Amino acid sequence: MTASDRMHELETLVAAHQRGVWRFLRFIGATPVEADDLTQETFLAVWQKPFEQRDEHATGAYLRTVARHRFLMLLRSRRRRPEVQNIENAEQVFAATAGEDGGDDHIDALRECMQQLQGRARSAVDLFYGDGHSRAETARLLEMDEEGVKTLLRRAKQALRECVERKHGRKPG
Amino acid sequence: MPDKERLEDQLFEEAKGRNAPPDLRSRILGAAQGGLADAPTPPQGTPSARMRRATNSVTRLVNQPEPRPSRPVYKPQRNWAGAVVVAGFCAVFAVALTLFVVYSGDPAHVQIPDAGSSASENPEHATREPGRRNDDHDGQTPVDPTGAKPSPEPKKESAPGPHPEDKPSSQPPTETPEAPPKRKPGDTPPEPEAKPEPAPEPKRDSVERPEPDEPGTEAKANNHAVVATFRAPAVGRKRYEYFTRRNADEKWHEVHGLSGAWGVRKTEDGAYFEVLEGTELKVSGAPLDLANNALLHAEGEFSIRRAGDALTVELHNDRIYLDCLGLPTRVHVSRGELLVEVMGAGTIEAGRDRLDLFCTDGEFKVGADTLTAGQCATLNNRGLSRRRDATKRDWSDTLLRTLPPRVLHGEGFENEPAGKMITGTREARDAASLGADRDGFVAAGNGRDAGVSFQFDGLHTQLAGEVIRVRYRARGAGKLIVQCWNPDASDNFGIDLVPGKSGAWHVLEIRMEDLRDRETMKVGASAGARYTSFGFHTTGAETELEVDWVEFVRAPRYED
Repeated sequence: MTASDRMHELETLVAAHQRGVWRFLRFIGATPVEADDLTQETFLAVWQKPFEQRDEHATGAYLRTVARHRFLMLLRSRRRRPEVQNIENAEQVFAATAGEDGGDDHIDALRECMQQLQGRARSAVDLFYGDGHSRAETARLLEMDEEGVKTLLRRAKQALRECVERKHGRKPG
Repeated sequence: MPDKERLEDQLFEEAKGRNAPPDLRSRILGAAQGGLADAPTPPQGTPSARMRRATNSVTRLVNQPEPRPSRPVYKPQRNWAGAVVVAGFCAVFAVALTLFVVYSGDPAHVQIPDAGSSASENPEHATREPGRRNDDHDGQTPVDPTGAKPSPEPKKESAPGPHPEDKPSSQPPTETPEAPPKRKPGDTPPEPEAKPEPAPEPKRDSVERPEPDEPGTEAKANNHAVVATFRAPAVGRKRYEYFTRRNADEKWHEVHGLSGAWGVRKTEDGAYFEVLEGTELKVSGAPLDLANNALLHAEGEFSIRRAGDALTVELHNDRIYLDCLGLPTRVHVSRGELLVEVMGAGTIEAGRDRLDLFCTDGEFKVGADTLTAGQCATLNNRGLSRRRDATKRDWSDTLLRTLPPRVLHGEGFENEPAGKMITGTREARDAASLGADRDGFVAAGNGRDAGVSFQFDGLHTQLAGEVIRVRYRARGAGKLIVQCWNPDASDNFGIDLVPGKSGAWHVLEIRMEDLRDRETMKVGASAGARYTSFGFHTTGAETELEVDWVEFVRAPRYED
């Protein structure tokens, strides 16, 4: 395999999986900057050793495993604890929730489902998830009490979850 | 907040345009073009210590002297002084045994070297095709005859990382001569022919037999199911291991390549004998493949019956070792009214109105009682005796120390692997190129880090004592990497090895328990682990790799 073939192989690998790896790193507690660095390190590490693309799912899972170990090394060096409750199972939780493809399809489906939300539920989602307001701020902007926003968001999330599952043809978990 | 919910929030935020992954393509590709040393951005912004260590490791590999051309071994080398003492005792014992044999005139239980074994006679030509028992080991598990150091576990010099530049095994693979005569890949013992009605469990002396033939001729009882196969012994040997007869009133007739015998028939290629149901067999220290892929290694007299998927070995005299570990079908062993269900492996010895049981793996079932691995007990008409733990003497039984490997899976590339090829291509080679007795196919790869990998047909579950054997030839390789993908751990489990002499055929033998996860090299591969694929890779800028066959065998080391 020539150098240009190898570079093309890496390019394909990165294009397909970089978002999934980055999302996974964020999920297990990496800051955005750390996720950038660790994503880069993960791809280079995998690319530098014999590696065959079995299928997209197995490759994605392998990249996430490498990324998880790299993140754990970083945590150890900084004496931090992971944010996820069980980092060993983080891969399974991620794959089950975001999908084996690293979350791209899930995000697309979510965007479509969010378009279908109406009224206060849509406003609450926009304010809380889109603009990053706290629950208290969202309650104030919607002229609701905080418990009401909490309930509204919970119902909206459930509706979105079911909508995504319908789009993926999966059973809600 | 539960992890799942936190992840969902993260995904909601991304869907709303916050916390979205940046496009890192140009950054990563730029780093890759910048070279190995500074490619990864270390978390602390300084050159990664891990990368430096990995680079040093590679340098040392390159400077390493030409590897010793010997087979990778299993037994740890512990104490040379002790080894000398043991060797001395062995020599004295061997002399004493020889004298005993010469003066007692009873060679029946002495292991005589297999003069007819083609591989040992002609080491230049290795019979191809994995999947057959390694007869040229003369019943031994694949252990280095030099007793040298084993392939050490891969030393991880660096912190966790997926780089394979760890310290490789100091043991290079064996050069040919090596290859055992084996069955074609995926070739299992022939399925028994369907019987219209399975006969009721008969007593030994009231068995319905085929019409008698002249002794020394092959059976005509073709309507009987095939219950086992064994390799046809070469003609002209001093001693044959397999004998058959119709009933206890007859003499035993030896089975060999020329004449065959009652109750067995030759396969079309003439390489194997098939044993028909109900045939009385006497076997002195040799293996049979049962129809359900179990291994039976016997020093005794027995017959085999079949009822549905289950096989029953009626043990008449002496003893057998039976290995059914990991098989879905049952094998029973009976003596008169006594019956044991073997759901693992172990030895069973027939005494007067009793069976002495030693379970080495899995379990034995006797009615509602269970004998687990490492336990011994006696079964008689009063039931199962009190169990006792096996002693060192039990574990060092000759029968256990002379076991042939049981082939679990073989891939010879004569056809496309049943799973699929992942990397590498099937290519034809003539016999001379293969260093084998006939033409065949290899899986080949070339270029940078050439490799061969294939998927199993389904999941391959690791058994205790499992060994990977690979016949290969490599050129230009800095090192070799053997690895299997474990979907449960989302990681490869593998080992790095120093390649043998460039351009020569070698047989590599790796205990699966020596494999480590590629990411941290800390987690060992243990029995029960599941794998979806096998990969064999080289490292180097311009490498060539040919893999003749790959086989997974169970070769437990009980004497340890």
